[in-house]
Amino acid sequence: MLDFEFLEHTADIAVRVYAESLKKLFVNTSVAMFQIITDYKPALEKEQEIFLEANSWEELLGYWLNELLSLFYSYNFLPSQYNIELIEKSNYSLKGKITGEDCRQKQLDIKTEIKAATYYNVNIEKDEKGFRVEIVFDV
Amino acid sequence: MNWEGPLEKISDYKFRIPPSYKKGMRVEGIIYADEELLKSIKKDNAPEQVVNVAFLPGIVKYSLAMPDVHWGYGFSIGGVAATDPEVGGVISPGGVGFDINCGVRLLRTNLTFDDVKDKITLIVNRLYQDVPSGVGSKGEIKISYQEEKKLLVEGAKWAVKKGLGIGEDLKVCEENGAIEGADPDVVSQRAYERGKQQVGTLGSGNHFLEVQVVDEIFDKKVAEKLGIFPGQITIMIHSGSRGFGYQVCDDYLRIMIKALDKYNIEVPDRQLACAPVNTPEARNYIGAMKAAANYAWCNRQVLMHLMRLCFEKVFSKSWQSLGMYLVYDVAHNIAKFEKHVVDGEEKLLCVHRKGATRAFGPKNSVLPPCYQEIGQPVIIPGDMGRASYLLVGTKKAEEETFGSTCHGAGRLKSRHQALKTIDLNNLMKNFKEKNIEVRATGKRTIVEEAPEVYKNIDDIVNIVHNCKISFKVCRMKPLCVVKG
Repeated sequence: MLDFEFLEHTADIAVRVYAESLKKLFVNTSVAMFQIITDYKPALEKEQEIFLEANSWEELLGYWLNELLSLFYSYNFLPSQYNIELIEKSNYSLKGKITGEDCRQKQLDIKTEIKAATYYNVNIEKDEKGFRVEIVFDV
Repeated sequence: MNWEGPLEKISDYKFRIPPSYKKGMRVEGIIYADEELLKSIKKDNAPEQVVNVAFLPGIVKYSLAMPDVHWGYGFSIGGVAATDPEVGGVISPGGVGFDINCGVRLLRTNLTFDDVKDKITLIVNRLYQDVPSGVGSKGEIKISYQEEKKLLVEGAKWAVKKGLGIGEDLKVCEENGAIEGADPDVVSQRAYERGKQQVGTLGSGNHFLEVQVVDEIFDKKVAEKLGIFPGQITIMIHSGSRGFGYQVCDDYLRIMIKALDKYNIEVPDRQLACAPVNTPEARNYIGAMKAAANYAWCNRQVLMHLMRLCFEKVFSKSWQSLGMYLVYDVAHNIAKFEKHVVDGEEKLLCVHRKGATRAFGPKNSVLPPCYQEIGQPVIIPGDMGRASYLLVGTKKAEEETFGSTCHGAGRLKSRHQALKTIDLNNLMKNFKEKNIEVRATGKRTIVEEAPEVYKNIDDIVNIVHNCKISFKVCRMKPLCVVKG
């Protein structure tokens, strides 16, 4: 199955992401996002714990993407492996570890600067083939 | 995609979306456009976003779209909405955007085209070399946490105190380059981290530095008051609050999304998350947003200083003797508390301008004495191949659009489409034929920002001029451009 594809959006960049599971959808969306930013393949040398809570899977997806962007821009942490768990109880949460590289000393070739992942019309859909979501990135 | 909702023609330049179109609309939507422009506006989802904004609690009169309106997220780009805090009016970070106080400043010079025509390459190379630009670019200025806190309160004045400009610069900035009420204590550590290395950096995307020549004057008297003459060289800077602002917006969007339930607010799009102005969530956002706005004013002040130094190097003269004085600096992504008359009564409203420029008319008390007679200068950048404009605000804008007008040409084509359909070599050849020198860190940016991806700025400006929500003063043509 295709992991993601780009869609038309007048001012920004929009992607449609596919996955066989919800967890994989979170991972694929992050992969799509960092692919817009850079082609650099980070080493697996630094771990980062992560824990996020939200009122819906859609909100959680937005928090997840912006958390990763924030780690990248504030601390130069570029992720490449995701060991995460999604938990549905009284709310929706994500916890786990991501592994990647601290790129502080690297002159990364950045293709596009993503300012943020927007929450605009984020709607996770599920059918017999799996999960699907569209995300608009502000660039 | 073509938007199929109802658009009632009110006048040659105004179209109305009735509140009956969608359940939950509190007011009507108004789009400023002509028949021709409307065709392109309907091609993307911008009108639906104008409708969604009409759901905001406490919204006053109408949800507005300027003629450069295009599809964004939450608000459309080119959207204006005012809310009344006294009746539960809200503030929405989505009505400001991620690049808080993205804006433009314009400098005049006493140089003419003849003075620079043989030096364009020298100038553009110097600008490209000396002004940090591009994605994640880092500036020369490294600041401590304590210093950054001061900057967030003092805005452009912080830079002037460091010798990067003069006191007079501040007098001709919206809010004098520092809006009151910024609160550095409600800003996250992440935002401080993202902000500390980016003061005096241009950024990427549509941000730019441009050297221009005045090619047409529409109002001679006003132009003279602004120190503008035909054939004059002007300089334009377009940038914002960089990573600092993006982080502030995201931090508070999360808080506002949680606040929706708490205050029992329903909006059709999560990106429109908001809270009533008189709540702790809103108060904190306002303090942080103002801090980001001040960061942006400081950033543009430092960028202007760096440009002055570049010209000093190229011409071996002081910037003062080159007459490089600031005409004005405007914000086009911001929410502000302003007094406006609603149904004959003056009210303090929260005016969101998302890709829209304030355009106050003559005799408005917030304008500096030098512009009391002519009204507020309005700076409208176009695309890098055609033109940009200087206009002035009007009383009509104050009455009709909460003192607002357009902010640019507005995109027509997506970046994706641009990359698919525009050939870089042809594009560069066209620039060469027009004698425009372009520099950018990424070749991709040049294609994504090619002139044909934008609407024609002449059309946009003519609409706001004909609607009398601002008046044309002069047009400037680009000579050289540095893109982020």
